[in-house]
Amino acid sequence: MRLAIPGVPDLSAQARAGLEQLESNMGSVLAHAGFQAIVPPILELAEPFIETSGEDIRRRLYSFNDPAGIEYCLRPDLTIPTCRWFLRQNEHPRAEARLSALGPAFRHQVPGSIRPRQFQQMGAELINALDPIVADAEMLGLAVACLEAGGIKAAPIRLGDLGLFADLMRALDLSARVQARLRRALGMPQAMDALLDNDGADRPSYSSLAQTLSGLEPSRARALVDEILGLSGIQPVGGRGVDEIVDRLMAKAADQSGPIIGKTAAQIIRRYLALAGSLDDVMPALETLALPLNLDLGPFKKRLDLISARGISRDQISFAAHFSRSIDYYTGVVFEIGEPGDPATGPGPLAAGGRYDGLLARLGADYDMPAIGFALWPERILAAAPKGPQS
Amino acid sequence: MSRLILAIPSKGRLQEASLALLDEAGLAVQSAGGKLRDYTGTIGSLDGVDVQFMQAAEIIQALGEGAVHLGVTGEDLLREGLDNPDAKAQVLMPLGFGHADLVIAVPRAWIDVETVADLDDVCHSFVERRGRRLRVATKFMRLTRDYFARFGISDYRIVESLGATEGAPNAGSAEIIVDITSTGETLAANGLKILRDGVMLKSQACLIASRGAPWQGAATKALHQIIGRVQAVASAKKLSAVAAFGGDPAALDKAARTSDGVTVLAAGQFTVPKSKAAALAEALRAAGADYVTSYKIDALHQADGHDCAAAFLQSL
Repeated sequence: MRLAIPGVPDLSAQARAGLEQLESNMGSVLAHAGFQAIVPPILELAEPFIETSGEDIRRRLYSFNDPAGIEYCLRPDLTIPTCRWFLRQNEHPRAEARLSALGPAFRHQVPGSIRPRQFQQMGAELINALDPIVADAEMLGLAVACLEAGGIKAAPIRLGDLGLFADLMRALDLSARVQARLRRALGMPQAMDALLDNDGADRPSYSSLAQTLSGLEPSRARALVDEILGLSGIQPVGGRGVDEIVDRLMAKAADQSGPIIGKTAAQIIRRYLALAGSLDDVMPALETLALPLNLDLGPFKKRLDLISARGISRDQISFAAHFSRSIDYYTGVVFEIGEPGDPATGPGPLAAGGRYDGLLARLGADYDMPAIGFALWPERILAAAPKGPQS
Repeated sequence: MSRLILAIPSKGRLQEASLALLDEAGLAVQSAGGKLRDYTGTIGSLDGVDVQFMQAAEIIQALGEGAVHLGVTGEDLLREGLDNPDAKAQVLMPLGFGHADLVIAVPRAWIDVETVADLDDVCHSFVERRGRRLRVATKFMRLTRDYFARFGISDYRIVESLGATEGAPNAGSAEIIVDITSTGETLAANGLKILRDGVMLKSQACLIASRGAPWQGAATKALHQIIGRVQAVASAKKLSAVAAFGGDPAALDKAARTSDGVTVLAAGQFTVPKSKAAALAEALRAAGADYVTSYKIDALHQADGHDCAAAFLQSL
């Protein structure tokens, strides 16, 4: 029998004490900022993670079926457990909530990776903040302050902004369906290239049926499709009703004239996605791109100003337009602090986070709740800090 | 231990076809106890080879770990079963049997869905309407994830299927499926259709070599022999031999060279794809041959044939 599990730490009490000192230093930064420490469970349902984070999380997930057949997992991250805690516990769900959590999380790593499979994580989540831009800057500032408390000074910050990409899509006046496809392709370079390269080739099919239906009243169209399905003896199977199928056929018919993205728009999207580098390099190019489109950079610049006002040097920050974290629920600003390293084998960033405005509703809230959070990885921070934590 | 270990499926059509092909190639397998159900065997005509009969999943694992040198199994299973398959194993040659397509199939009632791009649209609106992801039932989780990612589809989730995948949409445990099909009949019987660009992988049984196995001494010699013989039989299968007698050799040669797919073996001696043998015979007759014979060949050993054994060993 194998004695050691790769990526699972054995800590002595002494090593554990060093880690606890660091955690306590960082925790007091969060406590000062009004964050309430909570202790969400380590054992979670697998479903919320897969439903909201995307299939990619599954290959990182330690999940199993219990004897009753329910699929559980060891939490791979603290954001979802914290949000679920909030939805269970909170009596005033519309009020601003500041929650922090600390404890182990678990992720499968590819063989050969030096990343741990069991690791400590500290998370901070700010839910229902009134002004999202102010909240974004505050949370990025807090992440930096926590790292400073952990002995890490002036670590590089990598910024991305899914909200800005969505704004660009809107400014380009693309159809809602195309906007949605492009948003989904952000962070999947191969799919994005395919979309932009073969504007027409990759478009959804346009049947003559869709054309026929496009001239009809919705109720007539529905009756016709019902009849077609009846005549051909096709049983409605698979969770989509006739209404849904008819709606989509009609939307397709309405959409089918002209190119889907168009050369000009594709070129602008490419130019945007190529933006990467220091703020001094990126900002002028971004302004040039935004101006003719009436793309409002106001919120983006205001956020940067607020970040600067928190004492973070602009030199520390780089922006990459294509940067999105590999988790589906982010909707706005995303960031990583520390050297990113090789995603498969390197140690990875020291802190990372982003805005996830749709997540709480997906997890069961009755309405959308704006939220932003970040994670800190104490073991990485301890290893990267030039000297150990000071008490 | 430098004997070559060859893994062969332990049951079913794949086993029968594998043994038949080896037999044709002069590599008849003798099982240890003389019975089909044995787990090990040898190749009578070749020293230094052990045959192990294994289940398909075991063959993939053994190739990945380097526990066997060669294995016969489907390319679909290799790509699904191993993380980073190209680093661990190499497909040496397709064997011409065990054909199966890995396909995306959706309910036939979805008359608005014909392509993967349509499916992407539907996945997205499915979440918007229901607040949950469209479910894909499959046994091929890795290949499904990779293929969907290539098309930018993200709003779905996989439901691992343990039994008959094609029944999942009817049973309500998934909306669509990704599964193996050879004729499409089972899919149709379950009210499903294949997307136009939904063939994810065209698979067949292949001879696959493990990169991690100990390739030295007798094992490399046996590899050359096995590949040489199997390749000779495989390439002969599609060809006829044609021989011309009488007439002007130069004129015959010229006539042959203008025909499709002809290889000149020597003066008046050719190979040609089976379907074109008659046309070649006519052309040779017209060019002055007195007699033309055409006949089946059992094996074609070629001096300048693509030597995939050497290429593989060099790539290690």
